[in-house]
Amino acid sequence: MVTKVEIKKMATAGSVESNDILIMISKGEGNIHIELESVVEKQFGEDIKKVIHDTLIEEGVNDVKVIAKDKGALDFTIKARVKACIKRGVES
Amino acid sequence: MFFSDEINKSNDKEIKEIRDFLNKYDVIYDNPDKTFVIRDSGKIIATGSASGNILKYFFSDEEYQGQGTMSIIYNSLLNYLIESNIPSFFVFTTSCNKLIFESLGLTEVYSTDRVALFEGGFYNYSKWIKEVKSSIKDKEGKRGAMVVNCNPMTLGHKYVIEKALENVDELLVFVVEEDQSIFPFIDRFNILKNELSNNDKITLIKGGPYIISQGTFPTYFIKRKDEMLDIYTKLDGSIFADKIAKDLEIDIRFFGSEPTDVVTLAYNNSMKEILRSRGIEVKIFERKSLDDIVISASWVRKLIKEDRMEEAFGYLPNSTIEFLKSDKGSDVIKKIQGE
Repeated sequence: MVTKVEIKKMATAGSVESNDILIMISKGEGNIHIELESVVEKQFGEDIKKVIHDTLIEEGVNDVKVIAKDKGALDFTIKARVKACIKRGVES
Repeated sequence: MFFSDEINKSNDKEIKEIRDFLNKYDVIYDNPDKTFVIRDSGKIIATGSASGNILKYFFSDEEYQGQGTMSIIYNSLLNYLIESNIPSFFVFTTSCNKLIFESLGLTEVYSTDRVALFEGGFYNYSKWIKEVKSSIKDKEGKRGAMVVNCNPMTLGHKYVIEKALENVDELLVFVVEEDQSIFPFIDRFNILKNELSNNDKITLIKGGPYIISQGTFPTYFIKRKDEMLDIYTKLDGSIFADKIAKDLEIDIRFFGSEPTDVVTLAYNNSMKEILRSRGIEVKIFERKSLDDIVISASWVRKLIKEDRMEEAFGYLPNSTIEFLKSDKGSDVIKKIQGE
């Protein structure tokens, strides 16, 4: 069982450079809400959202708003950015 | 690989450097909240700044364009905004820079031939308009709109609102939300609410960030000052006509006439043209006068400043008078008189 992690403030991680992804998070409205914009949205939009979603769940976050601007990041980059962003969002 | 540095605002040497850099683009550095630069061998080659929730002064040395300097600057500014608890922001820029800002993941709100407005962060136009839509009833008959600042609400405002009501079945009153006025937004809004609460044909709406005021419209990228008003009006008018009025099915917009201020007069005239060209009716009402004095909020503020309160009350509806007599009201009075 993963302990529940609460997002306390807005945070960002990553960038809009090529092969990276910019993740912004803030407190949710009771659920996980992901807005994604990607250069490969047509091909991989749903997969990217799934990676973000699964990483959040793994980290114990289930109440968060996420805005993601993807510039063709690979899965582990996405994961790393989401994790870093959560760490920044729980610090107060 | 480039890195961005923050400009230390207490370091005169750095301030001079950024001033000189921007001077090359005919831009005057007016002390924004935060400035980032990228340097190559110590020399500034790119920059960007934030003032409140507006990002500006994006410039990059020609020699270094196409090397991703803007995205480095943008990233630093974004981190700064989020850390400062500013959840959404705007970029005003020239239309020829559209592609750059699109590639930074920003969303275009509107572009005219001269200026483009982008937004980013957690809030955006479609969220705002959805909220507004859910706060108003389904359209019945003719729907009109007005934009007011009401700093503070006078009998003149009340008169124009009543005149407008004679022409429509329902009236949306947008209250300018930016706190650039001496009466705080929340008080301006509540005074209107109290004064108009008994009329269910009126819906009061918080103006949000999309009713752009001249105060927040940065002009540094417009070289000729005399073109400024025209470019600003076109952007403000087009956003209203092509987005807000369309999404909220507004048929007619009302204005109060402008007998004294030349700038507002020019603004109203050009606004009229834009709205009419988009099929939106425009009606302008003569402002109400009392004893040969045209009632205006600025006249009332002048009376308050000179402590002629009883005279000022003569131009004000009950709700404004009540507010001025409250504790919060006396703070505002002190602020006006202290200026």
